[in-house]
Amino acid sequence: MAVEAVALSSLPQAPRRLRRGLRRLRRRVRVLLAARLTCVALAAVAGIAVPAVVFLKLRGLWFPPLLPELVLAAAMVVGCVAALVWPLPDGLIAASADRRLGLRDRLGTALQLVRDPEQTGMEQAVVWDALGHVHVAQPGEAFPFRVTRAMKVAGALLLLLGTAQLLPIPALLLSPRGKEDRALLRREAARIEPVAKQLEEEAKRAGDVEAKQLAKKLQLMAKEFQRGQLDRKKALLKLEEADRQLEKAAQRLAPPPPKTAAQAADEMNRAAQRSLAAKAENLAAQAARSGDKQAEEKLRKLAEQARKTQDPAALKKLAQELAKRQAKSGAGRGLPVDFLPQFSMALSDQDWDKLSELMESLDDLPEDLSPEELARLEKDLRALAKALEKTDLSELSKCLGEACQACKGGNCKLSAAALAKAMAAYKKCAGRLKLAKACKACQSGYCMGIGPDDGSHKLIPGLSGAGLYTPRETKTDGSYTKLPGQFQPGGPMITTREQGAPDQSGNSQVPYYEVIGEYSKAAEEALSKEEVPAGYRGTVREYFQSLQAGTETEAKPKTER
Amino acid sequence: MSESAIPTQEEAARQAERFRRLVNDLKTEVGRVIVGMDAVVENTLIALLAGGHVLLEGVPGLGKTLLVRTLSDALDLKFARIQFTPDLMPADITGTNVLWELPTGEREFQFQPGPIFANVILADEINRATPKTQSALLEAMQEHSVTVAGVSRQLEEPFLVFATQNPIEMEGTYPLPEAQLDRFIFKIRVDFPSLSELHEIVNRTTGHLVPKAHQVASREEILSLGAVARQVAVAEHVQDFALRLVLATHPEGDQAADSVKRFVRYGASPRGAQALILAAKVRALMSDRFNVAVEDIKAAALPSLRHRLLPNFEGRAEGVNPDDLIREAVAAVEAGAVRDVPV
Repeated sequence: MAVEAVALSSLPQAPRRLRRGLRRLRRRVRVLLAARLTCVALAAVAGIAVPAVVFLKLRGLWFPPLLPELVLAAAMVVGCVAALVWPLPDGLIAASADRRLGLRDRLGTALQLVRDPEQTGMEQAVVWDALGHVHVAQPGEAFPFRVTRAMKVAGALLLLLGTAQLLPIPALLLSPRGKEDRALLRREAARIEPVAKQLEEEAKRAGDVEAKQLAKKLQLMAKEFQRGQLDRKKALLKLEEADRQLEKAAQRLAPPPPKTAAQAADEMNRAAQRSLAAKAENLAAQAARSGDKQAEEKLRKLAEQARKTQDPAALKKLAQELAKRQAKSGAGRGLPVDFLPQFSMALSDQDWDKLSELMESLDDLPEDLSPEELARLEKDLRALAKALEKTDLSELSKCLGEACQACKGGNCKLSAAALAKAMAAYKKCAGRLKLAKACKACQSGYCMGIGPDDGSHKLIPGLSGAGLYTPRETKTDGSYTKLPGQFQPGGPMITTREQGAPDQSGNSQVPYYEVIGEYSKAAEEALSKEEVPAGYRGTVREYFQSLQAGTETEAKPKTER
Repeated sequence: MSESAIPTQEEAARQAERFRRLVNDLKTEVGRVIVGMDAVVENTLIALLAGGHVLLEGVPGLGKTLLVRTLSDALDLKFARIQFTPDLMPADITGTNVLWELPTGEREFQFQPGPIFANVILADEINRATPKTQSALLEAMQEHSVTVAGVSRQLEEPFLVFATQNPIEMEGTYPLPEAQLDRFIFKIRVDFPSLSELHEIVNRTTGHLVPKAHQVASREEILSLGAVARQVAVAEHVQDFALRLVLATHPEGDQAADSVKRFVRYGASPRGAQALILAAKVRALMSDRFNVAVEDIKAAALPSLRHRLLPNFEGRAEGVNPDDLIREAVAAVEAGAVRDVPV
């Protein structure tokens, strides 16, 4: 008997000890009950959710993505709360423990007997016997954890729910529209994957963390499209978002926009302004030293005007006046005063000959310039170099930078050598740029800036699409308007000559049958010279044949008349 | 608390220990003479310690008489055997007044006690005696007293009747009335021994040494231990189980099984409930417990109730076994009484 295991001296505490023992058992029961009720609740919810999710997915109806999970979480909470409030009186715990531990109603009987204040010896013995057993009883032994049927069902249903939510609907079950959508998304995925890869590489090169994350996001999205995990609506939303982010990333990763000719000219203008003003002040100071107040006043006025005006022509005029005064005073050797404004205008007009002339004038610079004159020269050359940075003449800019360094060092010979190098660089750039103008391919619009970068501008064979055969000139009334081109680092300068027509929209100005002959001839010439890619020759031929047929029909009534 | 109650739990533990020791000694001693029949011996001891009478049913030659005699030898109780025959008269059991001549020459009636004035009575083949004779035993069994010629004489405690019945020879017998059957605490079926038991029986009884039981306890000890057994605690739900079981044997009861409703005319009386509880108490103490368990009730159900179910015509015609009815009743009550947490 377990009576001996219990201290005999604590008889009055027997009820409390018995209840404490039962409390221990009850805690264990509550935990197991919570597990069971939670599983029951989860099974019930999942049992409803699985067919609902499948139905909604098949129908393509939207539902909040985390709604099943939220309801499941609520079910779990309900299960736990139910377990907490489930009535578990001492009598029930005692009866259950008696049954499970084989105690033969010891606990149940003791629980009833402890209520009686007057107990016989036999009743006391019952209580002590029960205490001895409850003292050694292990809650886990009395109420072991078992995987109940409810748990198995809940597990299976949750698995089913997860599968229904995560996996795409099999193609067999899709409607024709659904199949189309899935095929479309797969094609999109094939398109997105290389973009993502390219973005990843560029992000790695640029060290752009955001772009890297975007690349990963795109790859994930492509996978989702491939697996059919998204419906059309979600896919479109994601694509939209991705497009926005891609645009931002492209802007960040894109090389800085090259300077346009206008920008370079503008910069040069400002530099010219500053230079002119500085030179005028210098001459005014010299005049003041020599006591020529009139000259000083005029020069200071000149300086003021140079600072205010922004018109290149006005600047040129000012520069010429200043040059006269400089020549009169016999000061200021170095770059001609109007060098920068002239350079700016020539650049703006893309007058290569003028630019060549100006560059050649650098050769005439004296080699024995004073430190002051060298400093001024350095300033002017620096302004020129800075303006030409990141343009098509960037090589020239680099050489001018070297010349600046030489001037700063006070080494005229070195600076002269650097200027000669700059001249050579200019010739190289200009030659390349001039050739672009003379390029047949460019003129006919074939290469459109996609020719090889060796100045030849021959058509790159095998290229399709761009500038296949587009009549670039139509015989219309209207003057030629030059539009400024765009400098591209390392690339040809694209010049476009568009004929400005008074009415750009609406009907054409010339009947097509008047020009079709010329165009057909040009097309045949191109076809015979194999300037059209092989795959498109048939199309081109058919096109012009159809036009010719139309021409005969239209021309006939005129002839008959 | 009554005066006879055990005052302390230490005393209760001592008494319980003494009880178990005595029971084990009795079993050992009886086992020296009786081969096998463990359940019969145990039930007999339970009935003895519960202070009830036992009806032993079995074919002749199974050792029923020997069992009773061995028990009385082991307990040093006065033993009397009454062979019931159709011509047995009540006076043959209870005794009678006999005209006696005194040495002075006067005559007077003197009471000659019958064999019933013993502690252990073996009423052999009780169903062969007439109802009148059977009823003479009835008063003694219930009241533990005998009234002869208007004079009531108390029988010495313990007073235990062990009646035997032969289930084969039913021709020319007088089935025991329900009132008398109800007074037996147990009806124990004695089954035929197995081959190994037969071997043992033959070996023991045909050798030169015939085993005999020795006394292991006195009359007073038996009485005191019976009192101890009565103090075993019964929880409310256990008692409830026992009482529901008794009610389940009644065809009109809510928890009666279908077979009970179909084959039973009348179920166990409150004496059946008393028998269940008393027997369960003794069984609990024998099992090293101070409290009665539902298992004790279930174990005592068959011997306590099998003779208290009155089958109806259909039941008799179908030859329904009361044991099966009781088992169904137990199952029905147990199904309704299971208290367990839903984990």
